[in-house]
Amino acid sequence: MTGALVLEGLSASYGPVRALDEVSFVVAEGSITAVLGANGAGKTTLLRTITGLVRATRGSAVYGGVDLVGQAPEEVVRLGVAHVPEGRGVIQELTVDENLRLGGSFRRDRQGTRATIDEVYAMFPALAERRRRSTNTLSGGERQMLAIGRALVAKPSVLLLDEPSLGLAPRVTTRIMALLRELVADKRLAVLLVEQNARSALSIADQAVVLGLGRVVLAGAAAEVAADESLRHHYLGY
Amino acid sequence: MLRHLSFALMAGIGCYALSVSVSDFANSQIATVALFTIAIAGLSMLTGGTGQLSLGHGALMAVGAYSYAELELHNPKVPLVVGLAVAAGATALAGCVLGVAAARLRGPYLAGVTLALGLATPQLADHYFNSDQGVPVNLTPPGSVQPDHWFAWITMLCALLTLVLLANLRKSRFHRSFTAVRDDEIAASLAGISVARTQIVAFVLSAACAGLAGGLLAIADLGATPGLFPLTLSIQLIAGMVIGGMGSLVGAVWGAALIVYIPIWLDDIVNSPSSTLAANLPQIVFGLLIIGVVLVAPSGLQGALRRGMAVINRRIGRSGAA
Amino acid sequence: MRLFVDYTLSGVSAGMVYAAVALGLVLIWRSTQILNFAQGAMAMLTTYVASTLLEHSFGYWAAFALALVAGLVLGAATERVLIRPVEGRSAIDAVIVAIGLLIFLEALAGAIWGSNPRAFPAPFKLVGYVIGGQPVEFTPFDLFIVLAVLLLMGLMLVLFRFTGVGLRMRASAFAPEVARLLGVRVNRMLTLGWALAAMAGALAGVFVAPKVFLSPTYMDSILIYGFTAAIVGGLESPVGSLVGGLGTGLILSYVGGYLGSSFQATGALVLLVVVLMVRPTGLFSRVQPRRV
Repeated sequence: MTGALVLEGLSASYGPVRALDEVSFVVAEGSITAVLGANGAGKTTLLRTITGLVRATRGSAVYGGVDLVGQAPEEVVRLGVAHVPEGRGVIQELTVDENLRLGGSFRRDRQGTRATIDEVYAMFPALAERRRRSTNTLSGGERQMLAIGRALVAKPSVLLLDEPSLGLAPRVTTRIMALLRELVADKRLAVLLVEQNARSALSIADQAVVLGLGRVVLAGAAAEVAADESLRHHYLGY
Repeated sequence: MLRHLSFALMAGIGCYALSVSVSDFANSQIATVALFTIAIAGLSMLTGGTGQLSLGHGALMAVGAYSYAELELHNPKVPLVVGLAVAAGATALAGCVLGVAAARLRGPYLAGVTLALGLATPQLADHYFNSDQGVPVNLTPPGSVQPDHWFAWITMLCALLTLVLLANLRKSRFHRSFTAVRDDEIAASLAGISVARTQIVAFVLSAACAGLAGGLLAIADLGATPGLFPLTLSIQLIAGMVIGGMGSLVGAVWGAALIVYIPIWLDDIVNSPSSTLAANLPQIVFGLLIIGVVLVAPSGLQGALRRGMAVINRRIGRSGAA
Repeated sequence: MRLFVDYTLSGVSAGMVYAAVALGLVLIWRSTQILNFAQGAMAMLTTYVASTLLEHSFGYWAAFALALVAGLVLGAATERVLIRPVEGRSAIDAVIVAIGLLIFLEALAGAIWGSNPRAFPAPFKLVGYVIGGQPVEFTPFDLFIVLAVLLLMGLMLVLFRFTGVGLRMRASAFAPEVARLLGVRVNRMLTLGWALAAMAGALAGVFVAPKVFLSPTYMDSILIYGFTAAIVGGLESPVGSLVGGLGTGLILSYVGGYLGSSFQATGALVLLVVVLMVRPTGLFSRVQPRRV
């Protein structure tokens, strides 16, 4: 499956602490995999290791025939894997438009990039209104849209999202989740969605992976995980 | 404290033995090394200890030098100890002012201010204190002791005292607050440490050392003159601190020795005293050493020696067991 | 009154040179959070390169252009070889490396070219304009300096505001990690920042040399004044460098004129202290000062 992101035995450490321990699963093209678990379970580390901000000590993360492990982050995105980081990473000193342009700054085709940016504005009219303005005036939800839009300007095939619902009102979260579902359907993205808010993540996910202390403690179809009450109580807190 | 004192006593005896067994000229070199040790130890405690970089310690030495010289000029009978104490004290006051500024400024801004201070000081000294002739200083040794020997003993004694005091400081709670402030100011202040006060204390102590060294320098050069304190002096102190081993007291000794002796050794190696290469070779070497140390051996000479000793100890341990 | 006009005019011209030095310092500070104490020495070296070219019958403008190119190369090489290894480490480490480089470059220049001051030509006349029958302390060369630095600043502004490279450089400075996730080769941007900064320094070096003569240490005080200009302007913006440069140039010119040139360094010191006491992070900075 060339469209899939395949993780195999991925491990990483912060000094003596094993933050990731032999994580293996597959994110299929055109699907959403939710990565869940308590704080400190390694969810953010997982994403950071895939995109190379953290060096993997073992294992591989293969996409499109290329192992992402060992690549610098700026090269990983060129391979089609975009990462919307924790906290969104909206660059405050730049305007909305500059943030978006930055997302496509490594692309060679100016026209294509401009077209993609226009698509993003079409998707998010609120951003289009504010394109020349500083990002200070954006609400939390708008910032999340900007972060996602910026990642999309890179024309990725794999999208990694770190806690998009953080700090957002439930209504906004629902909108963002619905948006993700549409994107996946439209563009056949492979999405890896890290979420603290398990319920909303499970509502749109195809597959669920639960991490505990850096290891995969559970993996399966999202619907089953959502239906299993004792599981939810034990690992997901609801 | 006792351990430090006994160590210092042994070192003192060694120094005395060294002094009487070498020439007059060598004694004056030793004296220079000793006084630079004091200045570098103070700077090292400040930068290695609290992470504040001062590019103006040469200026602080100037304060000490001129204080001593002026005092002696107006009170010729003043005892040496008093004169040096005044030099250290006056500079400590200047250090207090700097410390207050340092507490309010972030790293690069403090560096800029101390840099400007380093540049301004010789000009000010020139203007206010008898321009380039400076203020003369006299040292009369007791009895029939050679002046160079006498001065060497004085400087070595001062250096040993300074090192002992700083070594004791290492063990005190001051040092813990220094390190806390250096590593993480916010955490330190959350832990109840007054960041400003810690930085000011560090500056005051560091300045006192520089002032003492400055006073001794004035004696060595028979006077305090602006030409003794160019910007390059401040830079040389940093060079000595870094190469010898930042934050290390023994490193200060190495650093001082290297500053004094590398030019001399290079002079001997390159035998054409008039070539521009010969004149500049010491600085070329210093520059490369500084860069090399930071890139490759951040704890300087002392750090490298310590690692070497550890390796040797392990080898001995192994062969002993075998 | 005439003195005042003279001091003002020469202050403007000197201030533009300080602004160019400040711009280099700000570029490097913004991108790598490092104070390049070797900025002046690097400019000195590129000016010696120009001087050597002139000795070998290169024309002034060719030597000028090649000095700027030498600056680009020297800046890029310095970042790549000396600064890259210490970029992640404590701020003091990089500062010390820069100081080491300063010592090394000045000694190297002394070894190669000797420390005797040598003359360096100016491309335009060094005779003051005549206004209202009286010559003033402002020459065609000064006018060229002002225009050239303004052009430099203008080009930098255009680069940063309107080009993709500039956008990537700003992103690398503001948020390096996020920038990397977006595909920006941050390391290359840092190298470019250093290259441009050294080029700005090279420009300053060539402008200063005709008036004070070329020697290994001739840029020392210019560095400090450029520093003052950068700090006064806030270490954060090219506009700040310009204003800081002009302000510093004017104030130092008045101090030097009315109080004596031996007080200029003191003037710089006082200026620094006054500005920083009022705004500990410089006039134009948006950074929060430390609270202790």
